[in-house]
Amino acid sequence: MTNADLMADKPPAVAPRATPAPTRLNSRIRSLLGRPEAGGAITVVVIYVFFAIVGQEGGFTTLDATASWLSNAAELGIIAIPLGVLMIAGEFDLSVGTVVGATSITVAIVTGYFDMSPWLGIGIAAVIGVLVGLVNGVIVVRTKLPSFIVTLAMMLILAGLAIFVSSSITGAASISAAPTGAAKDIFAGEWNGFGTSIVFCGVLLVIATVMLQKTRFGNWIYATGGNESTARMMGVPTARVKILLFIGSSLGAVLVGVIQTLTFSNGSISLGSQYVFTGIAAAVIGGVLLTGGFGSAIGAVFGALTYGIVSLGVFYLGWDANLTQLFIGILILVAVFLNARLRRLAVGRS
Amino acid sequence: MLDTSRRRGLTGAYIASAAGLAITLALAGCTSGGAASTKKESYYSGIEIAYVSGPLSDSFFPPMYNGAMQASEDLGVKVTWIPIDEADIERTSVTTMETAIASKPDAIVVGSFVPSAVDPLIEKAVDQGIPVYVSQSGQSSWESTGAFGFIGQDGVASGTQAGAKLAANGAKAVLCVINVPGNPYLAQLCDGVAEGVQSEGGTSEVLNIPTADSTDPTKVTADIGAYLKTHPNIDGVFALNAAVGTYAISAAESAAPDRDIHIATLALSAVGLDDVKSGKLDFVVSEQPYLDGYLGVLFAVQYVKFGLAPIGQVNTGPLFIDKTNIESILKIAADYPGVLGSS
Amino acid sequence: MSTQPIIEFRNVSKHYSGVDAVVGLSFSLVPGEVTCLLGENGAGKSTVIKMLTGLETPTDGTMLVDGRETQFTNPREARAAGISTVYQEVGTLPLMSVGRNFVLGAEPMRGFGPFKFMDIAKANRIALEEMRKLGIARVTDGNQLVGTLSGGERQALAIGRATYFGARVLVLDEPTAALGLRESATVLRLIEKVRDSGVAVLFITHNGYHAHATGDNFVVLRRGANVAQFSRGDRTVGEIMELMSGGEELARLLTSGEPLAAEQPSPQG
Repeated sequence: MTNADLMADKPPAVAPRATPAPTRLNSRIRSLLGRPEAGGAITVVVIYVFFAIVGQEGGFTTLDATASWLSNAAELGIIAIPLGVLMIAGEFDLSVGTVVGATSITVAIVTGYFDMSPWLGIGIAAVIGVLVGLVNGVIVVRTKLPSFIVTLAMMLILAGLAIFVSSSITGAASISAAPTGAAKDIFAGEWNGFGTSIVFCGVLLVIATVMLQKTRFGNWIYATGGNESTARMMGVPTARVKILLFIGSSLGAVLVGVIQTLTFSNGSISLGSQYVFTGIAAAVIGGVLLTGGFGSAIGAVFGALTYGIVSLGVFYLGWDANLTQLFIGILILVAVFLNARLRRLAVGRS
Repeated sequence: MLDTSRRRGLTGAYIASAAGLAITLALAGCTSGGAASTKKESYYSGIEIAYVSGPLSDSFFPPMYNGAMQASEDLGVKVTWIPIDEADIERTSVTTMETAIASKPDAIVVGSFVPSAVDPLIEKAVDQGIPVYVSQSGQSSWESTGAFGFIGQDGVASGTQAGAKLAANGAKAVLCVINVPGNPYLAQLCDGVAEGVQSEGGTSEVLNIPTADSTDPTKVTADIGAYLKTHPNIDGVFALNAAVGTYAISAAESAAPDRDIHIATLALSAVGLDDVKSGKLDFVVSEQPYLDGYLGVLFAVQYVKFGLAPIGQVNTGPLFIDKTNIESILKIAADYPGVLGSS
Repeated sequence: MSTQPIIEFRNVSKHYSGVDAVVGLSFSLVPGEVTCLLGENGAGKSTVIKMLTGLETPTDGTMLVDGRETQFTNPREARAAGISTVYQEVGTLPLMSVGRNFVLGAEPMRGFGPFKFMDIAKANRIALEEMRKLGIARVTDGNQLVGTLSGGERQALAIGRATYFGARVLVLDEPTAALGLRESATVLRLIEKVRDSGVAVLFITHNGYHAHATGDNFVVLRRGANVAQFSRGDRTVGEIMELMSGGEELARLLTSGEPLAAEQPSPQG
């Protein structure tokens, strides 16, 4: 029985065997392990323990180091949560990276080049984010083209537009901005090195989890990703669901763009270009199924934490930094195996 | 629960992944000696320096890295090289500096690529009692951060001199190629080039290579070639690292073979030196990054031990290498690869 | 129990460009009875479903719902009239729970204002109850994923869902086609239970045995036309299969053991 068989909604090929009645503890553990975030939880704990032990001498377990990787992971989490939810609904958004860059340039030009209130820049960036998400969603829904292609095209369009606008207005691809006031405190604030991104990520996590688990919109999201035609047959407005989620994923990118631009006091078109890869990686490590219909917001957060720990942890081990990518790649494979195995557990016959 | 053949398949997968992880760990153990070199008993034993700078994949940095590692060996101190990711400059400039601080070294040597983001962290390190020396990038703002000195070159001034020299050689319209868009320092360099060119009566333009293309030689060459074709007035190109210089030469040869284009680069390589000798390059400008690496570590170590350091900015550049001094340079490059520039 | 047909087809035809998908078809669907629509692939069964569910309209003839002449212009109208369809792919989502599947598209809510949440406990309760009514005893946890259910249990979920949400006519499109013997038996039992609860069932199949086991009325289609219509007991299994195209050979194979016509030695030798 492969995932494909499960997706095809056919009965399992293996005849049910008579198994001894499971104990209560057994079924409790079984149902815990069957949750979409189980693999991500296991992975993040194992990885943290590993780096905590081996990297302790290098300073990995200090407060400073923890604040650093946690703030970073939170920023990735802000991208990964709405992106993960969109993936649960069965679609991808490859344009998130360039939305971060476009946001960055917008905020920096408004604040640094034109010396106006950062809130204006944030407002314009938010409007851009909504538009990008809307366009992505409408095109995907109307043309039925794979979102992979549509958002890839959007990514290139946006990247080109960003550099064009930036060069035309300021002649540069990188603009410094020195914001002050409430905007800086809210988005770029920190407490002992722990950034406000952590708070934003936490809030987003709660909202996304409640939406997925407790609302009927959440039910629709899982159904749309599980089997779109079945969902539509049952009256789920799949088009509306997808468009809203594309907007959500873009807005997550806008938030990260604002946070980072105000933190670095510098806007750049290339800001955030990595997130298209790391965002999907975090979601996948966290148990979001690539073909849709399964996953959770907390799983995406576990994935983001894992990535954050590894990408910074390697420095504390004194490793060659290029090994980060090798490590992450292998980790993704291991995490995907683990998640697939645990899913089989969840769907196994009791 | 699963039939045996499927279980065996999964077990095989786990063994493969575990093996992969084990290999990674073994590799890491072996190479960690490279990023942080060994210490032998010496006068300065026990001192640990964190050096935050650029990735070795950018041809500018290997000589700096080699210098730092040589100093580590000569002085018997531990130097950890912490590179940023040029595809993610702002964020990794911050995280590498935070990592450096958290590893509690005796001193930090840092290239501040995004001063608005990194300077506050330099202040934080200094507040925590970690002395910071700024190397190669960040020369306009280091003093206010509490760092105890700067080694490198005044990028903008070198750019100005280079621009003037290109214009004096006959270039009327110079193209400055930025291969790492979003790096504010490179943008300033091109501003300097523009000033220099204008002072000799010429004009200057900037080409930002898209981030996605910047690591692909064919793409960069094509991008430069396309610009040359569509802007027939361009008769000078200034590249900000050695590799892009070679791409510019190829681009000029294929896209504008009949035009006399004066090409010069910042930072040298073995190929670049040959190109100077053969005349394909008018000159290369060297910041002598090997010195940034070696002296950066040396000054940090002496400051940690004695509190002594050169006052203010130490200039390691610009050194102009053209037909007048190429021969002696070539000899050194041949005898000591990786010191003058990347091979 | 009322015997007035809920659905009546009178001389209904459907032409597509160049193709007569259905020609002059008349039959009724009566509550509490299973009507089997038999025929090979391409006989016109799926066209009949499309007309019943509002995806297509008849080009000729009349369709009556509760005695009134009706034309469905979209699936929502058909659903509102109480016609529910369970397709071959069953239409359940294996990675979602039994409860969530059951209420999909009609989720029960609790709370008020901005804090309206899905009542999952209620959804689970209803799902399990309806499935128990259909004789499914093995499923006891509304939170278990539908992927853990057998094919027959998934059909029970889909059918239970349809009847719970007010289906008066249940159209089952090849429900046993992908199932083995044991699971098929489960589904046939489900069909009987649903029929007994007063629903009019249209059981579409190309499996003569299954039809014979559960049907009260039979309509056999061949190339769009109704070649036979009879009630339970009027025909044997072999006769039923003979009526479906290509069935002649199979029927003879099963009933007499004579070699197939194709295997007779040709006159040329």
